[in-house]
Amino acid sequence: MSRAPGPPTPDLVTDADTAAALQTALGAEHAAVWCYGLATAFLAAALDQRARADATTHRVRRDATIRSLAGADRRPVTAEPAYATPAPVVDQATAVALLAAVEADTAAAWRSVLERCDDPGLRLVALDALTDAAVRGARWAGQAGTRPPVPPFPGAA
Amino acid sequence: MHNVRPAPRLSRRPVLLGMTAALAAPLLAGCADGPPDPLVALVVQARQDAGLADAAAAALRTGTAPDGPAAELVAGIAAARTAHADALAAALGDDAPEQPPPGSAPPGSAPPTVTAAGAVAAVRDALDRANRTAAAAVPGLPRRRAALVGSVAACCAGYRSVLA
Repeated sequence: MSRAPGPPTPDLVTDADTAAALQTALGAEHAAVWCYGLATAFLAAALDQRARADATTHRVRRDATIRSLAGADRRPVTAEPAYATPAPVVDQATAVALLAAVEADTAAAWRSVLERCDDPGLRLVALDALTDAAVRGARWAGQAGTRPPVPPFPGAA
Repeated sequence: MHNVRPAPRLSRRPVLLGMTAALAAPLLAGCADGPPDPLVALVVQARQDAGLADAAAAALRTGTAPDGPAAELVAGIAAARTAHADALAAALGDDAPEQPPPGSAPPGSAPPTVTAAGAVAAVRDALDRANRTAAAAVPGLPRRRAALVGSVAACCAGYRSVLA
């Protein structure tokens, strides 16, 4: 699903606000990769398989975002050594809740890119990422029993 | 919303997330002679979809094999599409299309005799259409509207993925 990074967008080279938004999105992807790694240890086989596929999508998007920033001579933010989860992850239910929260964070970060860029190509990248986060979030929130499973405006504060 | 944070360490910069003010007055209002504002069609579509989803939720509650959880999910879609119509209309301000009078069936709403399965299939198609239309509008919109319409597209895709 992730679009291949094209040439650096004019936005990323000239607009510090756009670059900052993309750095925040990259930070969210780093956090997502870390959280999926934590959660999979607690998931039964079927859910674990889904989580691994989702984690792969996050890694692909993380790497594409790194390339986009580096291609515009912006130094991509690096992953933190560890992240504080909203609640302790001790079993499948808390692991699923973490993944729903991670996708909400990811949606917020990519929506912010939409709000802070003008380049049509970067907008499509951000829209893809926002949409993917809403789709994954819907499944994890549904699994967690959250009603409704989809917020009316994914990524909005 | 920010749920997952870097674990506390010394001297890390705070994470900055763009905080969105409430929908500001559209900057491009009043372009009378240009092409129609793409948000107008999105408002109309969202209202039609809300009508479709309301009809499907009613059919799921009262059909030959009532399905409460599915009815609840589809009612959530109706609420979301209504929220989309309201937010898009608010962004349009004076340029928003008129709200149809209460009780009038919007064009495209399901006929009352439709089966629950048929009504749900119509909602699925509507969500696909809404996702495509909103996504197609995103590249050309002003920033705040791009974010709003992007969230609308994402919401429709999210519901579509869980509507069996």
